[in-house]
Amino acid sequence: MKNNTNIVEVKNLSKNYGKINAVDGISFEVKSGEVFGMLGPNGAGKTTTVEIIEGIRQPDKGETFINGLNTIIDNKQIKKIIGVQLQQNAFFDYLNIYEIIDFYSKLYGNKTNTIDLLEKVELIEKKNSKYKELSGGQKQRLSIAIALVNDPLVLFLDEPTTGLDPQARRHVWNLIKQIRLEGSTIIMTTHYMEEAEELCDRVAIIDTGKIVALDTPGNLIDKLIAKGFKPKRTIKKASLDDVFLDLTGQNLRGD
Amino acid sequence: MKIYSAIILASMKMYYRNKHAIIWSLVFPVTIMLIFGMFNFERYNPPKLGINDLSNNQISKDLINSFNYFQKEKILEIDIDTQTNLENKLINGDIDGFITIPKNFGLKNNISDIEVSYDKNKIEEKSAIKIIITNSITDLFNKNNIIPENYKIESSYSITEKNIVTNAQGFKGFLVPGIAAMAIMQTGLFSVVFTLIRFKVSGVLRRLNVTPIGSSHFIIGQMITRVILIIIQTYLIIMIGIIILGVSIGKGDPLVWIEIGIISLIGGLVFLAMGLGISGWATDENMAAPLTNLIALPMMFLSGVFFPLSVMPNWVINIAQFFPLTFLADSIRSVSSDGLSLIDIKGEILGLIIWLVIALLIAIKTFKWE
Repeated sequence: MKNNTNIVEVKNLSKNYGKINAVDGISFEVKSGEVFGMLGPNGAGKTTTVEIIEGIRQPDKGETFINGLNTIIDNKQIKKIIGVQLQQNAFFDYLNIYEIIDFYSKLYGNKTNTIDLLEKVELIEKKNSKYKELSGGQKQRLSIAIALVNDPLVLFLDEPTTGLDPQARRHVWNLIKQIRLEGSTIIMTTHYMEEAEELCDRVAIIDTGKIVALDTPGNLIDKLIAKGFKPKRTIKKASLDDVFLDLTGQNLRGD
Repeated sequence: MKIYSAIILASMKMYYRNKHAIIWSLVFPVTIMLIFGMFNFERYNPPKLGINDLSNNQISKDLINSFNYFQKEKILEIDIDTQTNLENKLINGDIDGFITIPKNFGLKNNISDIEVSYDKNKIEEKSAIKIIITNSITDLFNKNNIIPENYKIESSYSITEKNIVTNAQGFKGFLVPGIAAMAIMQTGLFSVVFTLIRFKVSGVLRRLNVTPIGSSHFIIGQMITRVILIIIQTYLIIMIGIIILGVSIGKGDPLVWIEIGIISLIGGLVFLAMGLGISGWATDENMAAPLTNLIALPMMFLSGVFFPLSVMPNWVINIAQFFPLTFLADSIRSVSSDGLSLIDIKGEILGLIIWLVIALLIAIKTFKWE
């Protein structure tokens, strides 16, 4: 799926909030078809960077391009070709799930079939429910479905699994893997390392508004070991996460 | 266009399913209208009787004196004027009926036929006036010592009744247009303020900002939906007034419905713009609720919705006559109950348009969506 054309280009981006440099000279490229992860602690500047690329925040310095279009100049064109899942999502209280997706679909001129999308994110049985009646995982899958209504060239996922239990998290991972297989370019933020390792082709590690490392997860780990890193405890062949899932089941529960 | 129809359709669904909005914009005004309509406040006012004295002799003066007695007792108000003036006053609802005392009233060889004209719609006033007149005249002919004895027989006087169809509808005709105007204010302010603030606080508008239409088109779509709903709601309230309270509208001219629609549209836009300004300025419900009530409550009671502005102290009238709800209630009342046309109320319409411009300027100035 991957090829070498850069679909997203970020050039020397800066954004200040008062005296705080939320984003401090960030540059990177994302290749077509790749899953690009942005890692970092809370407040590192991940969300601000992503929202500037999405065109909903203005940078103080620098520019960003998606598919050759300038985010600020071609703002409207950009919004037609991107799909966005915001960190905090809210949808209409008085519409059901089907109607919400259908409404967003109409805003882009009905590029996708609402029933197909509901099946893809496994919410077809919930189509008559209200947003507030959904579980955390279902809410995230709904917002991913809405981000897909325009069959986007680039999909932005801002902390797609924060606050979810292990089963629901794996459910969202499977969905992201499926979307990736269909050839979409994905830019996602997370502060879960195992999530980045599982899903991302390349990751940028961001701290205090700067990129401190950018490579594939495998290369980053190799570099650390090459520096003579020794783990504080021996790594077993399974994690507590695996134990939990083994005991409680991989399957989703009411999710 | 397709996008707007999608937004309007979705907004209609949301509005219809939001029971609070329907209660505030329709159930609440209609309930108040029916309760007040059943009170019939007019019963506490004495009927107003006009007198046209063509005779102007001692006997007719004696008759008027007996009416004066009723006026002192506050059971009757009298108004002496010419035939043409009294007819106009009756048609405009300033008096409830009038009598015409013929020439040579009570004099020998002359049958004294007193003509009584009533407002057909005011049944209670009509029967009160009838009793007072019949008693006074009978009394006069029995006791008055100027009238010759042999003339004091019943066949020497008669009362002719004349029913006149008037525009005047009494309190119900006053109340129904007032309530329709109040409901426009309620929908314009409350349904917009709280819905938009909820969308703003929860992040719905932010999410719409990452779509090509952006949140501004969505808000415009919401406003168009509210305008349509306001016009439908005004028609519904007036129809309920016609069916349940028995008011009649615009002398039966169907054009009045179009005029009411146009006034509701302008009035609706005024309050929607105010609602937009409040929801743009406030960051949450706690900020918006006191301001919205501060705007709506004084207008509800001082803009001539439930009782005429004229009963208020002068300093209140001086201020309240410029309230947008006063302009709106007067406009709807003028075309629906008084049978006036839009040209007759151009002053009120201009007042509403000035308010619309002011509200829009404030809304643009105070807008902040984060």
